[in-house]
Amino acid sequence: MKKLIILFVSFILSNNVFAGFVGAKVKVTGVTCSMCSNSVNKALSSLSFIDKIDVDLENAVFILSFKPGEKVVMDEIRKKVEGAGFSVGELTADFAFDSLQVENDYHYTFENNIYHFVGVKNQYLNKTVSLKFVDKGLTSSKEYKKYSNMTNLKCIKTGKPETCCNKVSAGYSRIYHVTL
Amino acid sequence: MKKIVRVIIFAFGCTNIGLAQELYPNSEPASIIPKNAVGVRLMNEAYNNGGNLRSWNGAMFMYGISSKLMLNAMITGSNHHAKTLPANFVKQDTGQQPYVLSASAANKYSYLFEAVNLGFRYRFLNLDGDHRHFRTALYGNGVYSSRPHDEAEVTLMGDNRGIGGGVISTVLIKKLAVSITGGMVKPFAYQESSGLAINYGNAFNYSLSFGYLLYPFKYKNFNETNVNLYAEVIGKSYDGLSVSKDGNAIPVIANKGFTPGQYIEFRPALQFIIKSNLRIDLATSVPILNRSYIRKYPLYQVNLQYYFFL
Repeated sequence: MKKLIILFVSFILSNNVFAGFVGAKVKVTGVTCSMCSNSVNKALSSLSFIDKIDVDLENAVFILSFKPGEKVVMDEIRKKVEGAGFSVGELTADFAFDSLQVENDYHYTFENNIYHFVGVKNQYLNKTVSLKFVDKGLTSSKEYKKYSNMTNLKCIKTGKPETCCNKVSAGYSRIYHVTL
Repeated sequence: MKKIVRVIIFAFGCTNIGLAQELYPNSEPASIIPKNAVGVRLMNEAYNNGGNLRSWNGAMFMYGISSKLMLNAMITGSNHHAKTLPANFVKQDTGQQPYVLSASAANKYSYLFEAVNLGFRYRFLNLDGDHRHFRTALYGNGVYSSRPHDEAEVTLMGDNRGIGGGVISTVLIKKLAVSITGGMVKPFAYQESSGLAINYGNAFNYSLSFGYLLYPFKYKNFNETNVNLYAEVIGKSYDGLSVSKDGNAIPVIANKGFTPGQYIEFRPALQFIIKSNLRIDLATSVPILNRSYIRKYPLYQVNLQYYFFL
């Protein structure tokens, strides 16, 4: 019985430790003054899943640490930056992978969202890697165009389940597009 | 023209000192206040009017409804006006015909509440890049004022009842921040219960503003005080006024306070931003083409602004 409990606890712990977003780097565009950066900082710090924010003021890069176990919503980050009057120029998030085999157009489901891998080679992920978001509004329009040409699937245009990915996306409302 | 633009860009480029700023003390940028933030700005403008100090104050409250729309409300007070027009505003000539001679600019008045101004700014175009952006916004204001403004130049800063609006475009590329504003003021008549009324003409306002960061050379943290330098050129043209009693026109003897006019002022300013929030503007104004007849020069301005993040 004891062994079983230990096994169960370690299973839960390993889940908490191994799968999920750890932190993110947000490059904000349009920012030119420390007052503007301060507005972004205040807006981001109101998000419940953010634990700590470090700011590289010179480059307008916000380094976010997420609270362990909290659901992270990338669109909320975008909304806060846009609400402060600016745009997300680049968003890369560190995701701790447990064990995952990915390939181009692979759809990975996590916490009620789908993460669609674009422009990636077949590979096995079992550690923390940086996922670069390439959706409209989460990267520059140039980068979005570049990656949207790497897939034939329509969902990259809308960020929502389309006829292309009905099978995997039934019941989900948001598909994020990421690359490695 | 291209040459002039190149020279201006070169001049700002030469300074090689950090990034540009668009928090203009004398005009608004096309950017708006952050969503869910409340901004409070306290303003003072003062000038020496032949030995007595004329002072104007405004308290402006701003709120960001969304990333594109903000609302603002301002109350103003000054010692620029009397409570009503003076009893001798309309004089009579030897033939008992009424006429209006001159504005009562030299009089000394007590400090009075002036007006309430409600407005909005809507940013409809936004192109963001790395340390650069281009934005365009529409703005509009409505003012309720009860003061007898007996001069032709109309304002939305407390002198007149009226509406106004215009377009602002702000471009910001690293060291150069330029903003252009073009707007119009449509005033309503000032009317007294005696039937005496002052009817104003429309005014057009425009401005060209430049700003840049003097200090620090590199942003390191939010607590560092920023020092910004601004150069703004503000222009206005306006129609003349007319006076009537019970709908009948009263002849106005032409003088510069009553006739149509246009002028351009140069408004340099120094700005301090403390802890990335408290903004202190120190500005002055001198005429470079004609002049305004509703104030004396030099005009001194002090503004304080603070954002509260809800």
